[in-house]
Amino acid sequence: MSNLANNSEIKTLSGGRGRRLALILLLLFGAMLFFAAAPLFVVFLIGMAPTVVAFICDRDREKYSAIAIGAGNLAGVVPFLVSLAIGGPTLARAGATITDIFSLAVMFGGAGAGWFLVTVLPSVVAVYMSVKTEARIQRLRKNQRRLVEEWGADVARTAVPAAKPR
Amino acid sequence: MAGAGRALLLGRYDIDSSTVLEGLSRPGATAYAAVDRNEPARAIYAIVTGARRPIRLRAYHQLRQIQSETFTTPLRIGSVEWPQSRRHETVLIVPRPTGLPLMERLDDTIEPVPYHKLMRTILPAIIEMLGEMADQHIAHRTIRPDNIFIAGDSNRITVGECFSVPAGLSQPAVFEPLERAMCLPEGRGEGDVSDDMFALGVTVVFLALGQNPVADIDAETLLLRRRQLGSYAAIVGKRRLPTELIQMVRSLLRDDSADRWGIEDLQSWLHHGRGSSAPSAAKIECARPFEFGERRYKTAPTLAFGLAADWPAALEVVKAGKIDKWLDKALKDKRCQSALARCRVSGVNGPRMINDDLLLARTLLALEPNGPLRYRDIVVMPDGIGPLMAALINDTTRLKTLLDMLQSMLPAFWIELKNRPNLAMFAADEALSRVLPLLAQQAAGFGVERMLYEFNPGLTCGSPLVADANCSDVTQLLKALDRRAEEQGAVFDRHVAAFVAARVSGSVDRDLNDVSLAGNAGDKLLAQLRLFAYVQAKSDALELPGLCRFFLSKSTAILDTYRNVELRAKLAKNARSAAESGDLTKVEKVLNSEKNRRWDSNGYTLAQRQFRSDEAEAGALLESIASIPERSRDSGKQIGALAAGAMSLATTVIVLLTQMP
Repeated sequence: MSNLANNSEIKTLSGGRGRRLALILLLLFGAMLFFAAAPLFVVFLIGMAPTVVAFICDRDREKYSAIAIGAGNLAGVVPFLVSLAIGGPTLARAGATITDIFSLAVMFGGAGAGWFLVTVLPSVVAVYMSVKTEARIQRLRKNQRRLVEEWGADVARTAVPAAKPR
Repeated sequence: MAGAGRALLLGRYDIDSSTVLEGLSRPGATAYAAVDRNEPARAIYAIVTGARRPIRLRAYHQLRQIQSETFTTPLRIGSVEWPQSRRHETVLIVPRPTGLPLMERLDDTIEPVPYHKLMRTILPAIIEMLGEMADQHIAHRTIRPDNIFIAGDSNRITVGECFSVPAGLSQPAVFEPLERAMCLPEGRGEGDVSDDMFALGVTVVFLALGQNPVADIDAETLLLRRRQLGSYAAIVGKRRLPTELIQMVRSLLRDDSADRWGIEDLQSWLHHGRGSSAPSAAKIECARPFEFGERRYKTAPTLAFGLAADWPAALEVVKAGKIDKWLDKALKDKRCQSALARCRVSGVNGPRMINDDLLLARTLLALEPNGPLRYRDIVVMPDGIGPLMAALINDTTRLKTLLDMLQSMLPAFWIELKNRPNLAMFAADEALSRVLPLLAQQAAGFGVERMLYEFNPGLTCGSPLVADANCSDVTQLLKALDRRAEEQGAVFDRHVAAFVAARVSGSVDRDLNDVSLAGNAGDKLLAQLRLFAYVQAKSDALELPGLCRFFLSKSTAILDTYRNVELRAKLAKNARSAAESGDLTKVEKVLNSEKNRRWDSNGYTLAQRQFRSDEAEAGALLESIASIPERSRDSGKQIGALAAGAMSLATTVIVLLTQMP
């Protein structure tokens, strides 16, 4: 018991230390990005706002929804970041980008597309799994009917142990 | 075709069922006039035997080679549909004896036969015949004046047939040796040449006196007198026999068969006037007789005779131990005392327990070792058990008494006590020992029916299924059953099973046990089919389309023992085709192939396992349907995240590729 407790404690300690390190690195990266490319950072920060909200709201341990929204959001932000970086990253251009309704619609639309995927795909997967399971059951029932036709109804009444499930 | 009232045997012998020949008939076997169509001039007649009276089949087969002209050699035996009853009956075709019987009826009075005629004509002919029969170890058992014929002109002697009824059945008791005369007529037994010698001695007395010397004495009194005085004294009495005959007759009528003159003695006497002298009689009498009922008995054998006549009273006497005391104090017969002591000891191979009836039966044998087996109202010689059983088969009470006697191993005790047992009795005891274990088994094909057919080779099958067919062998039985099967009647019962088991060569006991132990209708029918197929193979080549169709019609029960539906259909088709050949073996091989059985059994086991496995998997899948929404939510989100990531990556790459200078 004590060994197990110690192990979980070690894991908790190492996990907490890792997250803290990642946060420090992220803050350092953010600070460097802010001082090195403030216009890009502003556009990125404003454009990725839905992602931040999603990460905060998503209670799932795996955070698949937040990841999907974030990925979609990033797909919407990247063209503007690249355009800003190539055309000269000034705060004025950054301001123009983040105040342009079309730009915001593309950036937030990307996040919406990500949200749409995580909302719709579970249902699609559920339908697919149901259909696949039903089809397998039908095949098994058909096989059983064939066995009964071939060997008589007694084949269903048996004390013989079943073969290993396939 | 025979005309009305006529029957035709083997397409040759025309039997007139309306003309009975009284003089040639026997009790239970009626003689009828007959004509041989191939040789109309030949004088023959037909004997129609009784259904439950076994003919002497062994004697019939063994005595066909007899060369003596005195002997009536049977011509044919067969089965014919009898006009009056419309049933099949066993018929013997026999040459008609030439001349007239020495006595028309035994109660007639005739001119005494002269000494020289006896010596030169009658006795030499009969002795020659008996000598040839003795070489075959068969006794005639029908030697008596009304069955000996003499042709007036040629003085040729012929003795009438001796096959149509069980040995001794047709003989009046006076012509039987004492122990056989005491028996029920059906139970007198095959006997041996010494019994014929006795009958010959009595015949000589009748002929020499020209009449029956004991015609006015009832059978019971005569038996007692013979027991008390000896057969010679009882039969001849005070009548005057020719002096020259006295020694011969006295020697032939000795009650102990071992002391009786044999063929060589009589031949010697006929040729040289000499024969062996009579041994000194060792009759032990006592001064103080044993009182039983209204009579007083001075010897052990006469006491046995008296006790057997009143069984219930005798039981009380034996239980009270009065006989032991009488033997000890009055008779002082050491042999008898020793034998009596053995009566109460069952021995290693003896019966499990000795009840009162068995104790009395054993006591009677101890008192009279040469006497017959006596058990309650059954009196029989060991070699006469078969015919007696045939006679009692429908008399439940007496049959049970007979079976009780056999199961108590009285015949073995009889042999054990015998002073001088002969070979015929050992053979009878051996046959009994072989068949007795079958009696204990209750399955069809065993028990009393089996014993009946084992003991009576000449008995036809008594099954009600083939009652009209009079089947004397398995070929006839199969043909009769084949006809019956055409009408879809039952083809198997205890009599059929026992008859087949007793008559077919080789053992069918395993198949009979299979029939008995079969757990279902299919297995039972299959075992029956296997049995009949074996019998068909062992009998004369014949086709049995009726039986084939019968088993085919019932084959559903056999096919149901297979699991595979396609295999059943295939086997049914193959069986139909095999049945057309009329060969039960082919049908049996189709319906009961070991290879098919193995394939079916293994396949069925695999199918069962597959079914169970499918059932388990389907059950698990049905259970998993409920959890699909939960499992699909995680999977869906995961897929969504992956898709969004891919979309993001693709967008970035495209943007970089298109916008980079």
